[in-house]
Amino acid sequence: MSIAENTELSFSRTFSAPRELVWQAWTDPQHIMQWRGPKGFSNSSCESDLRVGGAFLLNMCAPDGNVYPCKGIFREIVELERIVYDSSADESHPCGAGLPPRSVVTVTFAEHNGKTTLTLHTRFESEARRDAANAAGYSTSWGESLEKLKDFLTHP
Amino acid sequence: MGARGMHSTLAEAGGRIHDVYVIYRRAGFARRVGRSPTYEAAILDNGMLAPLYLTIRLIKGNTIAMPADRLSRTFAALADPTRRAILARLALGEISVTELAAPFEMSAPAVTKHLKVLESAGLISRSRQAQWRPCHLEATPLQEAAGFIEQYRQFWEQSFDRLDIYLQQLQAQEKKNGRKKK
Repeated sequence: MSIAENTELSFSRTFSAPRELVWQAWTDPQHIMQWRGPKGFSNSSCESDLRVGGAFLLNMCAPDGNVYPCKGIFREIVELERIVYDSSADESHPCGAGLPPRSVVTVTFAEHNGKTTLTLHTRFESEARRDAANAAGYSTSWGESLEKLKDFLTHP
Repeated sequence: MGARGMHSTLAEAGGRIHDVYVIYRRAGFARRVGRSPTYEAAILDNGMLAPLYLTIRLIKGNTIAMPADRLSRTFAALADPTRRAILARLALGEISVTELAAPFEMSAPAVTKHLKVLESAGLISRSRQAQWRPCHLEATPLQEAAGFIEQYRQFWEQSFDRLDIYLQQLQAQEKKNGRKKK
């Protein structure tokens, strides 16, 4: 685990499995439901529309019976290599479902000798905003475009 | 808790305490104390995060609910190295703006600007009683941020543990099915 500038967190794990299988376990709703969430949690339903702009929703059930929905939007998908998603802006629970509000998560899959190293990198809002500002004029992400559109509609 | 109790509790927590310590040391909130290079070093600066508190939270894996905006504000406030240094200084005790500005080679207005960000994030408060308006550190948002990071880390560490087992099961199943087909 590492943290940089307090607004980024990274977790890595190497699995004894080929990359295709890890990718499948990460992207197929039937597989996701079998492992996602802390010890003692189970998942009641999962939907995943794996394409840029597509949404995923995972309903996680805590041991105490509370249901924590995990909602996000896919921003980038590179088959077998990389998935980028962010949390929906209306998500009020900070991290019960493993996705902090207004954060950007990048998952990368790297294979070496039949093993797969998965890295989950999370960037929190303040950093995301700063980067977006730096990149202004070069590229604009969908998230920023939608954000601007929303601002425009609410404050004409 | 005595030093011995502290030591055994920290040892029970294994590497996790160290992980959190590294976060805080990098952020300028923790300092190395005593001779041990690892666990005792997780003792944080005065008034900021008591080791007892940190230890209990880590071991029980307490969950905390924190308003999203407050967390965002805390992270935004912590993203700046000067502000982290200001917080580290305030951990030692209350101080005036002039005194605070001295080691930073910064004008008082520049420091005041940083203080306003910290104040709006709830990380510090400024007394209105005394004329020199001393700044105090408010520990709660930092504790919440630490709790949040730990909770999020546990979410993924435990998910990865489960994924590891699941992948083994899938591969064992594949092997079995493969044999049956032959």
